[in-house]
Amino acid sequence: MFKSVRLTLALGLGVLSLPLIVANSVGATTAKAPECVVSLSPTATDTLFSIGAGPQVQAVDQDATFPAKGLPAHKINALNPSVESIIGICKRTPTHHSAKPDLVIISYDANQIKEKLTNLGVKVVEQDAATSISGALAQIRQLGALTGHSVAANKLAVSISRTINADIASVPAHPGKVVNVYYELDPTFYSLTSGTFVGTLLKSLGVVNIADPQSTSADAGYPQLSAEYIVSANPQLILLADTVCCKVNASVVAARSGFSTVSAVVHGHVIGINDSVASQWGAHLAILMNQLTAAVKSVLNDAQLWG
Amino acid sequence: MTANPPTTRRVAVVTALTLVGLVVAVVGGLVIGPTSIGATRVVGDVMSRVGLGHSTLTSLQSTIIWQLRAPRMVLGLLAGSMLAVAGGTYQGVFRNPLADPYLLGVAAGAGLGATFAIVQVRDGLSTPTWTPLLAFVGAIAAVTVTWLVGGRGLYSNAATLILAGVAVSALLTSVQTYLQQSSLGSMTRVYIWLLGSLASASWSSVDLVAPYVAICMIVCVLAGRALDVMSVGEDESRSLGLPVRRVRLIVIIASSLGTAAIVSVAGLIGFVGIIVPHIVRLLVGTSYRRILPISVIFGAGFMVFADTIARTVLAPSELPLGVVTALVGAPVFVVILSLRRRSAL
Repeated sequence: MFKSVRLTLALGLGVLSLPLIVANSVGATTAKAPECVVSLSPTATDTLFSIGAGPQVQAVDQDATFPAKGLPAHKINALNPSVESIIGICKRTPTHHSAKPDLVIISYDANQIKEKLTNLGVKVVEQDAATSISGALAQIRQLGALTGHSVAANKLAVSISRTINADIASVPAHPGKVVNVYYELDPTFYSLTSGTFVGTLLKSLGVVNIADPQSTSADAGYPQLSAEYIVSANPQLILLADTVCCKVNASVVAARSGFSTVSAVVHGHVIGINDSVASQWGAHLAILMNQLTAAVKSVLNDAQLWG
Repeated sequence: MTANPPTTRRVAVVTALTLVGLVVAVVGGLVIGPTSIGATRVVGDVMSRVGLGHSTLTSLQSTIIWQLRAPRMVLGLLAGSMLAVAGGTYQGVFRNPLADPYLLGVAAGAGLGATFAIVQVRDGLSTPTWTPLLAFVGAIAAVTVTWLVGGRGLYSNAATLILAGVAVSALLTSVQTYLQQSSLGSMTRVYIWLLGSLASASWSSVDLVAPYVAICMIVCVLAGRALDVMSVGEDESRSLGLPVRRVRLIVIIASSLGTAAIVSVAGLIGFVGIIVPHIVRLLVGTSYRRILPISVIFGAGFMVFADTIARTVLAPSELPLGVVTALVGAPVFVVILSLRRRSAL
């Protein structure tokens, strides 16, 4: 009950904070929708296509995975971007006379690209990885405002927030059932705590994150665990966010030395999540929440586990 | 380096102390870890497995000891001993104190193979299966190319081979770096692999490399007498009837194959191959008949000790093993070097 109220409040604050965020981004509200957008953020790219701004996007970063079809041919290395290649990337049209993009969206200011492009008269908006649900929804709305798709963006944000609330409400109260969860980011056992974005989603579902006690200020909520620690914590649920990058799945986990005795392995609760869905908190956020919720409910409904 | 060759008694003492150190490292490797399990209970469990007494470990504790710590410790023994003896043989065969097992391109080749597996995993390669395999293939291929470039021909010598190794390593490293940069999402995993770790050790990885390591290690140790002869120079060795090129080829094959096997499952663990033979040389003199077998024992214990530090000091996070081997090995080396200088004065 309390968690639902807290989350609804957070989502509401996300809506309220929108005008502030837009106002804070330099010239965020444009009179004319940009015709040439470069997105160096996979999350933003996904959102832009989801709100109907896809035709305006003429270049994306090389790690963009969503949408599966329709991404522009121009790919840019977001970790080592070249100002020269970005500045001349747009097609000249009768309505767009310059090769300069109207808008560049970045998630990371590599090579001081923000300053360099701004000096050349290109509008740059930086969207760091969201740290909260309200922040993620605000970013979606900001992209809508920047590209002239505010209505679609707002509709998407509302849809996501409703899905998240519905998912949380669908998890039955489970007094006496402690679900320990291990969330794997890569095969070297990097994980995340309840203080991170995804960790917040998990916490709202009432699970206990085994990484929480191991976090220090130095790891920013993403500690590295060890096989020994995970085995000794004996999680009932293992969530894999490295299924695409590293081809990790339930069989791979079961084959790891010592893991065959872990509860999640024994009872078949090792669940894979598409890496991109797990790490891009834009248009696919609702899908991520659906998958997390389904995984938690499968553990809670396992009669063998609690019988 | 030493004015007088060490006495047999001194060699025996060093060997005995090295063996004691190895036993301590092995026991420590089993007993020490993020999960607190009493040393007496661990020892009791070990004893129960040979029919003495009974174990008091829970099922979970037994899993931690025998499925996590034990294979890791055994792989550490294999890795440390192989890298140390390979480093010693390379230093002997090239008569170069800076030689290490990665001199002829093993590291660069393995790095490229592993990076390819990690980066191309999206195209259907499975990281746990393909990374060791491609690292091994890359390592062997690199050494083969180095040999073909610099080791053949009538006038080829050790210096030519070393230069070929430098060139091949540089080329492969540049390709590896390009691959790494071209896939941002894989960068961390490539970096972690390059730093080396025994974290993914299992009995299957031990089974996989143990035959290679055992055979290669025996060949390297048996080459000690030939390496002693080669220490007088290539021309002089030939005049003494030693088939220098054949010895060099056999030693390089054995060292490279064993190193490639280790690198394929443990990544690039630096410093052991160069520091351990030097420490042993300072303790027992310059004869490779003594250096190589003692390096096997010293390297094994050193690696297990370093790994215990790597997995416990920031537990449950782990320090890269290569960082620990350098942090521990370098000061030890400096201390021994200064003590030997002082005693020589």
